Amino acid sequence: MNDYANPWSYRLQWAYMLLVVATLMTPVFYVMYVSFNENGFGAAEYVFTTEWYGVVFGDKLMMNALGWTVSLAICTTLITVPFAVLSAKFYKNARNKLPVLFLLMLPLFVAPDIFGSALLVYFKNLNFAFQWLGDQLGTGMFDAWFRLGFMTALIGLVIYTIPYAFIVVLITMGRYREEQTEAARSCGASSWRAFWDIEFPQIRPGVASSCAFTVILCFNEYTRTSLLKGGFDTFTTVLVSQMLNTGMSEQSYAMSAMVSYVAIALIGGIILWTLVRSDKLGREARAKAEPVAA
Amino acid sequence: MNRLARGAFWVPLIFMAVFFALPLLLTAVWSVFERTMFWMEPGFTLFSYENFFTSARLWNFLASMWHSLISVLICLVLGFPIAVFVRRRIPQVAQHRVVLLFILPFMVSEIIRIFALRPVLQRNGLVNHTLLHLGVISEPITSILYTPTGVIIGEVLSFLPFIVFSGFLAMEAVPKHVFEVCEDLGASTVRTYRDVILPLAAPGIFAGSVFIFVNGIGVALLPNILGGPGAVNAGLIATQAIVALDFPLAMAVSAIMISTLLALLYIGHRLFDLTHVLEPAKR
Amino acid sequence: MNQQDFTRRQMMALAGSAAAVAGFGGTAQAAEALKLWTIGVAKVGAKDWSAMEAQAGISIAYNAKSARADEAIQKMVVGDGNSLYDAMSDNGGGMEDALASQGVIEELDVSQIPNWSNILPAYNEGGAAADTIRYEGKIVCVPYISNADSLAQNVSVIGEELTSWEALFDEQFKGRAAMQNDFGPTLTNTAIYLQQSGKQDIEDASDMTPDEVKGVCQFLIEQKKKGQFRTFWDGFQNGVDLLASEEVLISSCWEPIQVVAAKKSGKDIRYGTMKEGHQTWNNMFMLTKGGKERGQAENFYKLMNVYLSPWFGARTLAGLGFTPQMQGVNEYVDAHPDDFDDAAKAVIAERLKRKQARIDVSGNAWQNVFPTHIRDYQDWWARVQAA
Repeated sequence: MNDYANPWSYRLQWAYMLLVVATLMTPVFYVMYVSFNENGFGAAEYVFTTEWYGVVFGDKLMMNALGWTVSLAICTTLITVPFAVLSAKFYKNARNKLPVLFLLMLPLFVAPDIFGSALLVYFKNLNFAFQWLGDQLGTGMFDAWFRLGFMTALIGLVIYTIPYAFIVVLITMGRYREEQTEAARSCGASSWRAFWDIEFPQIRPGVASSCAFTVILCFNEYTRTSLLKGGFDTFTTVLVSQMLNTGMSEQSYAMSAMVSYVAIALIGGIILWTLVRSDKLGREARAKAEPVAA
Repeated sequence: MNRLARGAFWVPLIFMAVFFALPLLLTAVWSVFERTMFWMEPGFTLFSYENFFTSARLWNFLASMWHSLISVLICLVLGFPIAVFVRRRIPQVAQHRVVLLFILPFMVSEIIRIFALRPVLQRNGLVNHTLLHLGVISEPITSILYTPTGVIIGEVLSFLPFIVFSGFLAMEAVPKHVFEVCEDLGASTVRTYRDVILPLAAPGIFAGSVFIFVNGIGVALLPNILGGPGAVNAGLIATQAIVALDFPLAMAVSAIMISTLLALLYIGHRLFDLTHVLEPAKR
Repeated sequence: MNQQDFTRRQMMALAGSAAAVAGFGGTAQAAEALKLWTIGVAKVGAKDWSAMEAQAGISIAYNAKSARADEAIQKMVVGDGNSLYDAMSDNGGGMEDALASQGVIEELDVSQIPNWSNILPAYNEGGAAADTIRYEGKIVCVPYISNADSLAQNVSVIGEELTSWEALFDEQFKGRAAMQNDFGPTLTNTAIYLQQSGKQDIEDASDMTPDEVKGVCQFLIEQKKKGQFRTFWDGFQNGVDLLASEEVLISSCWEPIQVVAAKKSGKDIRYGTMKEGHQTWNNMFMLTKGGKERGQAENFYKLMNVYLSPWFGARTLAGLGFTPQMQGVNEYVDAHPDDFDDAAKAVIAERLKRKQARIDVSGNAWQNVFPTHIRDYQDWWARVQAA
């Protein structure tokens, strides 16, 4: 069977795939639709307005929560992505790959509520242990180490995002040919220089995607953060607390919609960027391959 | 200096061991502690397990496993052909970008995504409205929300992208020329799938299926928002136990979930060698 | 190093980079703000806490609180609640006794609250209401809202106003009824119905014996098996959505849910008066031990003075339908025609009348989040869920 012989089957398969994507996107579109309704979610009457986008930045609660979310997302990315690069390099050279794979990928398979509960109890116990240690040594310096708060939420998010970042980096690294590092080393470059000057530029798209991935995951994570966060609120915990107590405010829909615009732009940007890059690389390769005209 | 650099590679692994593997293992220890009024104290009692296995919680757990299994099968049927299609028919350079399309639904928080299914599925929702309008049905369908069916629909829509991702990774293990050989030999689509694609992609399919299965049992939001009166899964049993300050019970549920997961992964590994999931990356 | 300081410092350090990303300015609060752990419905006057702050003359650092009693107690007793919050609200139903017995909340000096003299007389006359704000005879709470929970009903479709819980278990509403996914209110309301209709012997619907719990749960399991309930709702938005979308016609729920559902759908959704009785409750504010240690008592009393002023009472009643805890609301409304037009006045009068009718029913029972046999409540509730 050949694509050109049967273009309809090809088109049909494309259509099916796009239909699935569109179906999965319905809730996202729905949120955007609601965010322009003056009467909010579930109202019988729809009145178009852009008002909610105007007031969202004046919403102190929302902005404060967004601040925490952004802080968490930045810190998580700063830890997760270097961890993912280190782990991917380690994995490629490891002789016994299974334990490494197991440790790095298992977080994907542990359901959020179970993982959150286990870590919650773990941190509480650690906190008791460190407080006891502090009492024995007559110091209060350990008291806050594992008290629920920014740090514990951060640890939870790093563990949650590592598998995703790891896979993305590993896949891009898979296309890198080790011989290039060897060549650089034999020319006298240190292993760091060889990595930074030769390998890193080639895996950069993977690192960029894993950064984007991590930020998006942090923005939308709820269960683990809510169990581990302690005394502050993030964007999603505000949403849920609104859902439970007063109903999600119209600003929340506007904010969610805005987050999705930004995220779609981000993903779109990455797609375009890799597109342009591969196009350029392809052209360069072709140009180099062609004999110079006399 | 060099030793220091080599030590850096161990940092992520040590981090994961201390803050991830250790807490998971310790759930088994905490699950046998004695419950106190607000916390728990060291001891040995199987009360939490007895409470789990002899109460209605066990049936809740088994029912959620069954629903989760159905979701896995539906996801495979709907999602895996997409992975095959992308790998087989789309030019190499564009493949990853096409897969990125399936990340787009994650742009909105899961909780909003699940809640937004209600205006779609409810009595006067989008589906019923459309079907009534087209004259396909004369009475609104009420069995697609607040029922196990509703939970399964929610699970499929939440987890379908993951079967596309893992299926795509799995398909990277299938060299492109294999398809050409199949076509040259005139193998039917069914035979190509059964004898060639599935065996080669098995580790990836298995990993994706386990992912969906355990999340179906573990994500508390799904039964909570889409299930019928009192629909419960393991995740919800654990969170409800935490809310009721019954930490040993929560830890017992976690330990049971984690054992189930490890058993599944062990079986999978014996059958397919799961390191093959990332095979193309190893090259 | 204090957790709050630690995280705030970290936050400040990040604020610069974060501002560039998200386009927002500084978020750090003034150092002396009262750290208040409560629910969103505790505020009136504005979408945020600014109106409350202006009335009290203090600044408030609001922390959203989820609606579960056990979680809150756990956070205060074994968690870090005392270092995080200066004041908190309860979840009703005996929580203050648990907190006061553990020494995590402070006895109050009501002489510091000028509006204390406005408080509803029931709080000073002994009996159940008076008990709710006291622990061992000492005042530890300031009430801010209360209610008697009832049945919301879509009169536009039903055609008449229902006056008995019987409807919730009636064939007529099979598959169009909902109750709350929480053993507390659901078991209490069902118990009130079974007790008052003489279907089951129940001594105290607020604190049942294991056998009574079993009887109530078996009744619910039977109802559930025959498909009576569409679902059990969880949380405000969920409850509103069910009623507003007409997925259910009757629902045992909170009054604000009925108020918002009626507004959203434009339908005649009413909050009935049940002849058997209702679960009654109040919500209160407490000063934490940590709050007093940090010198926040004065700010706390200033805020409590607002909660006991008709300014607050009139607004919470008009907006969400909660019962004010002070006298003089009608006089306040009459004196402020600019804030309350005739339509709003009519709504307020109607709600107050209906509230009085509900409160007067003799079968009412107080909410109790810590019944003596709580384990039986929990285990039987798991069976209802599994049925």
